[in-house]
This record gives sequence, structure tokens and C-alpha cells, in this order.
Amino acid sequence: MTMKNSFKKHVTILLIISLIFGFNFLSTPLPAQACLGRTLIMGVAGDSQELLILSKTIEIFVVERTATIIRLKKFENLQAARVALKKKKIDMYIGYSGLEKASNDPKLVAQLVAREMKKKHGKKKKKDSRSFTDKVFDFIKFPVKAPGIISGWLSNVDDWVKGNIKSKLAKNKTKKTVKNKNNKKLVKVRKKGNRSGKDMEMDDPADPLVFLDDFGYESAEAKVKYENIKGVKSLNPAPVSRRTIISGYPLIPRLVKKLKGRFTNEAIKAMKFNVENGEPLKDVVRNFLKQETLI
Amino acid sequence: MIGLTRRLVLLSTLISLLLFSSSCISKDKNTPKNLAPKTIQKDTTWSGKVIIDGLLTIKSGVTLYIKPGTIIKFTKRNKKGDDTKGSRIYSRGRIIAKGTKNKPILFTSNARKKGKGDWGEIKIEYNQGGSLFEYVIVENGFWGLHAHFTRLTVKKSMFRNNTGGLRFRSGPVYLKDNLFTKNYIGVRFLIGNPKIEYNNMINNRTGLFLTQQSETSNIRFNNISNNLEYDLQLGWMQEEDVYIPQNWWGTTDLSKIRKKTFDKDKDSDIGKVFFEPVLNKRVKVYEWKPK
Repeated sequence: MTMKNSFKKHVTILLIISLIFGFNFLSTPLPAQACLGRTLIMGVAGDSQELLILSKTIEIFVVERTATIIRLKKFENLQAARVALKKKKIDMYIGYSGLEKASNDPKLVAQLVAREMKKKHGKKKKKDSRSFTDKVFDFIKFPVKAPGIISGWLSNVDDWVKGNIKSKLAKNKTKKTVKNKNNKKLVKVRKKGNRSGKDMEMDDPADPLVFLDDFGYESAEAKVKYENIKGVKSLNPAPVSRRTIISGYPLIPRLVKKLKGRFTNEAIKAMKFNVENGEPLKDVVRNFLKQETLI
Repeated sequence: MIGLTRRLVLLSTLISLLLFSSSCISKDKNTPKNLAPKTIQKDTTWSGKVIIDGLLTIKSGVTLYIKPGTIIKFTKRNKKGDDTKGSRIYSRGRIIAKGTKNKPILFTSNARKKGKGDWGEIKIEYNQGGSLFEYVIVENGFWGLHAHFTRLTVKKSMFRNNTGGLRFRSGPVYLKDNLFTKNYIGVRFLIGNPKIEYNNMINNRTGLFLTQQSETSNIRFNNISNNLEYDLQLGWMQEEDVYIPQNWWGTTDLSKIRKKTFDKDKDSDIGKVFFEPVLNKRVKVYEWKPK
């Protein structure tokens, strides 16, 4: 009997609480997401004037030709924008096609990192018998030594290496040793203490990255910046987004396609010059789009 | 004894919940005078000065009446000049803003130095009750007036210095005797067949923008001229050709009119505009000369 009464009381209280909150909630209509005026967030690598110009171009082009708003969000560098997209904090960014595809392939990133290491430290006298994974993993434990350009990728590699050893770790839950590929040497792995890939999000298979058409020219700026990275096939600026975004905004790839072939390194150089000489970026980009009769 | 304690605890919890929940919709102690509430839940009439800070929503089935001479000021919150976070009105109900020639209603920015996009927009959605804006001035908004699937009449009103003056989808919409000036875009719409007549769309960056599947058979006797870039612009999705006769485009010379038009001539993926017959002189329309 007591139990029943107590149950009734609880139900009554819950009902009252839901009524109070429900009333206030229902009495305030929420703005609906209508067909128009949707906003896309586009990440921009703050350390690249070229990428800023291209991002602004997409922003103005899309805003002036469709009902969609694009808002730019600056990041410290390309890697930060890349991570933000993978974490779904932004909807797209512009990178360099080969580099972006590579950055989404941890195995390739690891190879590039290893190459960089080799380049930096030179050939060793004794042949290092450790596996590739071990070498990379060792390198990750001392990220300070990483060359600037690839330091951003370390988190990718870290995760990749961790992924490789994860299955083996599962067998021994605490402090364990893991055999390398060739069973030649063991690498001690601690669950905690090593640099974690906390700023890394691997591509979501349910919502993978989509590499849109590039702008049709190889970036001189990127060539200088990434010249020491072999294995990256193309340094053409290109937008990267995610599948859900593109299916929600099917116009975006079509509009981006329209921009293909409109830019050259010379055009970018001229636009940079105008911006450096005080002309607002927005005006520089608008003039360019007008000149190309795109708006 | 235990029962009494329990009851007391329950009672105090309920009271605190009530207080907390009501505080969500009550005014802050330091709110400025004339501040509009966050929600309008019953028929309301505004007069004098009203300040809107943040989002004001109007519930479905409710009508907001605005008396002649009322000044509605929106707090400038928005540094980026878009409609997502600025002070704005979102209505599922009707708005009847009926000023007079000598006492127009003013929607403006509360900022000292006013500019385009200081505040968001007056947005009305899914309301077929019929909203009216007459003798109204809308300035410094992102989109001054923005309607979706709403019966809307706008007469003898002025939209100036907004990013966009008036934007809508479907309707029915009737625009007559209005002036759209110094906006980036005067009027923009999609998927609708509005009646737009005897309006001036002048000195905007683009006068009239047709986004998508826009019917233009009832757009006649307007002056759409002297806009900085285009008098008429088709959006990316306006793939159909557009027939928009009997308007004044500032000239009868079709090649000049085409220069101020963004259509198939400039982008092969969109429709072509046909202007003929064009009017051979400016249309006499209501002249707005407010202070």
C-alpha cells in the first residue's frame, strides 16, 4: 500500500514538473529552419593569404548567387581547420588537394613523416632493424623534434600507430609489450603518458570527407611551403567538405566547379598585392568575380 | 514527521521550480524602458518607442498591431552583419503595421552610427491570416522584411540601407507604391507569383533578384533602374526564362537594359530575361519623401 502511494506521489510530481516546463516551452515558438538563409561555416587557414582569398571568393560567390550564407571562421593553420572539419565543427575548408587526401590517409602521412625524419637525421650508420611503426612511434614520443610543417600531422600518425597496436593491446590490458611486424623488436607502450591524439578525429565512415573539384591551378604558395614533402601529388587548392553537407547543399559542388580555371597564380598574386595595399579583401574578391562575370 | 518533512521538501522544490521557470520569461531588473518582451503570446498593440534586444517571437494565432508613429529600435548585437544572431522579430502570427503619411512607423537600428545589417530581420512564416505593412520605413536591417508562405501586403513603405530590403518565398505577396533604395538587394524572392506594381527599385546594388522558379507575370509598372550593378539578377537556380514586360528600366535601349541584367547572357546555366514590351517612360508612382 505504502509502495503504491509513494509511486502515485512520484508520478504526480513528475507530471507537475513536466506541465511547468512544458507550458513554458510550448508558449515560446522557436524559429523554424526554413528553406532559405541557411548558414555554412567555412574554416580558413589563417596563415595563408591565398586560402583566405579563395575562401572569401566562395563566400561571396555563394551568397550572391544562392540563398545560402557562408560564414568564415579563421583557424591558426590548415591542420586546425582540417581537425575542425573532422570534428564537425565546420562544414568545409579549402586546402590543397593532394595534401588533403594524404592527410586523410594515416598510412601515407606516416610515410611522409618517416621521410621527413630520414631527411632531417640523415642516414644512420647502423641499419635500424626496427619496424616502420616503431620508428614513427618513437618519433611521436618526442614531438618537439618534429619539423614545423609536419608537426600538425603527428596526431594523425599517433592515432594510426595507436590503431595498429590497439588490437594487440586489447589482449593485455595494462602495461604490455607489443611485437612489431617482423617480431624483431618490442616496443613498450604505456596506456597513459604518451602523446595522445586528443585533437585528432579520424574520418567518420558514415559521413566521410568529400574532396570537391580543385581550382585548376597548382599553388605557388603551397609549392614553397610544402616543397619538402614528397608523395603529395597535387597542390591545387580545393575545397573539402563532408558528405552530409554536400547532400544538404547540392549547389555547392556545382558552384565550385564554376570557379575552376578562373584562378591562376598571377591572379592570386595580383589580389594579394591589392589587399596588402589596403584594398578591403571583400572588394578585391568582388571585383574579381565581377570581372569574371560570375556575379 | 518524516511525511511532513517530505512534503515540505517537495513543496519547496515545486516553488523553486515555478520561480525558476517564470524567471526565464520575466524581465530582468536592469532592463531598459520600452523593452519588448521576448515573446508575444496574446494580441498586443505597440505605440511610442519599443526596443528589441535579441530575438522577439510572436506566437501563432496572435496579432501584433503597431500604431502610427511608433519607433521600433533593434539593439545592435551583431558585428558580422548577418541574420543569425542579431536582434530580430520572428513571427508565426500576424503583424499589422499601419502608419500614416505624416506618422510612418519606423523599424531601425538602436546604434549611434547606423549601418547595414545592424539588426536581423522581421521574419513572418506560415501565416495566411494576412500581415500588412503600410507607411512603414525599414532601415539598417540584414533583411528588412522576410516572409515564407505568408499572406503579405506591403504598401507605401520604404526599405533603405538594408543588406536586403524584402525577401520572400511563395505568398501571396502584394507590393505596391514602395521604395527600395540603397540596399544591396531591393527585393528577392523564389517560388512565387507575387503582384508587384508601382514600386521604385532604385539605387540598390541589385534592384530585383529572382532566386528560383520565380513567376514574373504580375510584375508590371515598376521603375527598376539606376541600380549600381544590376537592375535585374537571376539566381543560380533560376533556370527558367523570365518574362517581365511593361516595366521601366531607365531606358528603352534593350542592349543597355541587358548590360544591367544578370541572366543567360552572362551565365549559360541560368534562364534568359525577356523585357519586351518595355515601357518608354518612367512610371508615375507614389513618391516617398519622409524626414
